[in-house]
Amino acid sequence: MASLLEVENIEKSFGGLKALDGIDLSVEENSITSVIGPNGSGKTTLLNCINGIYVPEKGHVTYRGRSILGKKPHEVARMGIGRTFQVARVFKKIPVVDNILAPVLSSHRPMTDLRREAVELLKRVGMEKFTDGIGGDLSGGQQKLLELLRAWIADFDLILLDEPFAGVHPELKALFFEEIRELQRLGKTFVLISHDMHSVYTLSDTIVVFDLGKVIARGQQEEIQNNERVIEAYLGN
Amino acid sequence: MKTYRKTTLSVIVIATLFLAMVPVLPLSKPYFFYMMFWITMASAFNIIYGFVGYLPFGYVMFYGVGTYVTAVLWSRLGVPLPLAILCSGAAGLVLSLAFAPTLRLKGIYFAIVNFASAMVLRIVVANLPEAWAGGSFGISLSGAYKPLASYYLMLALTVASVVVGLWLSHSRLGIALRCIRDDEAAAAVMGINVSMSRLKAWMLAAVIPSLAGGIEAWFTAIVDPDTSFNLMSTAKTIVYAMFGGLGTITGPIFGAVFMYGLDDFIWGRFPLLNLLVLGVTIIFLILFLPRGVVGSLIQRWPGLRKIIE
Amino acid sequence: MFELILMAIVSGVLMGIIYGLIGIGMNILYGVMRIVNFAHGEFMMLGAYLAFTLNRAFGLSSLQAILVVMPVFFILGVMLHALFYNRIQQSEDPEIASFLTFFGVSLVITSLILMIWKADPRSVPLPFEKVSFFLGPVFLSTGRLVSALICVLAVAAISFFLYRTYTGKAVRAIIENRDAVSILGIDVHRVSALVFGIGLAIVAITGCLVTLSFPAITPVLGQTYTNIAFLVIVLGGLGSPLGSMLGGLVYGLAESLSSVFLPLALSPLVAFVILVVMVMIRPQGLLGKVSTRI
Ligand SMILES: Nc1ncnc2c1ncn2[C@@H]1O[C@H](COP(=O)(O)OP(=O)(O)OP(=O)(O)O)[C@@H](O)[C@H]1O
Ligand SMILES: [Mg+2]
Repeated sequence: MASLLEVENIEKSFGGLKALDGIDLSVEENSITSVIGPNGSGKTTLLNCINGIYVPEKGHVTYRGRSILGKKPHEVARMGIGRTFQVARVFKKIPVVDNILAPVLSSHRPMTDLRREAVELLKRVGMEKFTDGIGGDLSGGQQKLLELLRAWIADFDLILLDEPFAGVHPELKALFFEEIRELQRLGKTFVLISHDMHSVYTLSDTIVVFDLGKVIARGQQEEIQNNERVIEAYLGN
Repeated sequence: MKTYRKTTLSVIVIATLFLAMVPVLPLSKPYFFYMMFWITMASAFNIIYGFVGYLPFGYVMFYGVGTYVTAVLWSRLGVPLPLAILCSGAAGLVLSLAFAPTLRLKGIYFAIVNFASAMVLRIVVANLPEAWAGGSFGISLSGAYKPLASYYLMLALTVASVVVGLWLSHSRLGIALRCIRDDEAAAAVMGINVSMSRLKAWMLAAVIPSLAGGIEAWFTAIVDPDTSFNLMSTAKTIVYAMFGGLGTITGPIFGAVFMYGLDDFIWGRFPLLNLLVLGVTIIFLILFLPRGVVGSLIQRWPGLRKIIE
Repeated sequence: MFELILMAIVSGVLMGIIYGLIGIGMNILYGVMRIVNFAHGEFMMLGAYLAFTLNRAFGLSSLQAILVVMPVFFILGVMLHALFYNRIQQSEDPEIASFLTFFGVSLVITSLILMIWKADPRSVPLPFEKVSFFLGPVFLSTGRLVSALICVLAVAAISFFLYRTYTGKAVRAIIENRDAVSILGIDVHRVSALVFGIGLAIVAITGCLVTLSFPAITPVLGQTYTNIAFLVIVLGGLGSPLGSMLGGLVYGLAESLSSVFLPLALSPLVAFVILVVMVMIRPQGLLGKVSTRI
């Protein structure tokens, strides 16, 4: 199978701290790759390096065989990579519909079509009553769901999810699951960061474990669970 | 959505008809000319401060350069006035591009650099060879004096800038700008080209006052550096726009109409008091009514947004 | 030519010291409260006009006037703090809000000065027998020399306050890290009020000194001094009070040297050009560190 995203040996430091220390990652098309690891192990930093918020000091990032290193965040997004944030970042003062439209403002489809689609997406997840409200009115979980709707309307091929289930009501979480599965069925690819091991084990095709900016293990559930370095990383401190 | 669009449009049409009739009615043409001028300035300023959140404290420079380009082209090169005014607009665009690098500055740094740049331009213009720019005495355009034509040109520009504002607030660019104001990094991650969107708004906010400057130069038929680059013009633009409410379309219009009327009234009777009133109004607005009149009304009764924008 | 340059350097240093103190007055407000005092120059002019009136009415010299105007301005500062501080902090963008508020204040002061003292230039008689003298080949203005000396004293006093007293250290702590100070139990509100008072007291000194260093004062001079103050603090680094001294010296020298080489009408250009270039290439100031805020 072709790999969609290829991260090779990237390094990113903040002052003296090496947040990423030679990370390799290969994401297959239409797969769900999970990244787990203790707090501060560099997971969010990895996403920031993929979508152009940070530029790694060393290494390569290629998407569909093309280097995306040094590209600006909006250019990366326009190539088809979307993401959600650990703490959802909806536009608080802006109508919920416009919030969903944000990633398609640069598309050439007519606004009326886009608006209709945004409202349909809101209906899908039972949030249509918020259509004209503002982003700040939504609960934390609803905000995270809205971020996923953005990825949906934008038709991103690769979606980076940073802790989508943290602090989300169990009912909403089930909905989230369905949506992710549905998007995968439609051919989308995911990188999922989560502390929720149950979700990780249910959803993932591959799991990668980070500690102190390095990959310490990769594989399926059993391999991870029995890996000594993983046990040490989680229980050692 | 449709119905309030209709209300807005009919209000614009009625107001335009009234302003078009002013020259044949027993009303003061200069008064209404300057009222339109300030509506234009405040509405254009709203694009960069209200939508983008950048405060160009040297905003007067776009107007000032507009007045000079028209005056110099007409008086020194004999360029016909309407064409000279178009060149003023082009000069505004060029100027906005020249200052595009300053858009990476934030907050007070942007405001101060813009202010200092306006001062530089003023000094440079005042010291250009007199044969060209008239030195500190300026340039007279009395040979071209056509108050009626310039009045109607200003009317056209005013209507255009209000319509541009309305368009912007519903356009993709307008939504993008609001997203950027809310969370710049998140907007970028969503594929919004932050610097390009800002640049577009900046150019729009620059071309309008430059055109207004060209038209105003024609209307008054005199241009000089102190008037063209007067800090007070920036101040009035800010106050008028804020008084009505930044980020709304009706706000700057209402603010300009009301405050210009008040200003004119006080200025005519107690010139010294004028400065005091302007100063006190600014302090009051910033501290007690930062959203302006229209903005506060909308905040109090959100339903109003359906009728006024 | 050599003597011209030597004189320009000496007068640049003298003026630079005064500009430095002008900058400190503005910078201390910015550093502690993020308040951009766009009325700085107008406050100075108000001080200068008070010195003028004190001279007319009671025969006080500009130097004696400092002792009267300083406490008045200190109280004025504390009052302004009480009036504006909370409102400004609550607004969406406090820096810009303070900037515009004080722009409004500057208009109010200018109009008051115009109403009370009219627009004519005013001057205060100098309290020296010789208004100028030669020191070797260098021609010195007594007024500027005395002004510079007073500024040096003031800077020494401010440094003592900032580095040797508990409250002064608290002021510096607030400038360095606004979040940490509340953990230490420093009452930011009270310190801010004090700093506002001190800031305006410094303005009072520089305002009175203007009547010593320049032959006449007019209401519109305020804007010029605000511009200078801005330039000085941008050169020295926003929020770094003593950096302002360096900024002042650099600008004082740039101004006086440029007057040797540039036509008079263009000399105001120097300040603005330095300001724009400086902000574009080194917004953190000559000495400042790059901030890591994102
Ligand atoms: N902008 C920054 N400046 C300085 N240090 C940073 C920055 N961003 C991240 N770091 C540091 O880099 C390291 C990795 O952070 P990162 O956010 O990637 O961890 P994480 O694995 O996402 O943790 P968590 O599970 O808590 O979200 C941490 O030590 C963090 O403090
Ligand atoms: Mg994280």
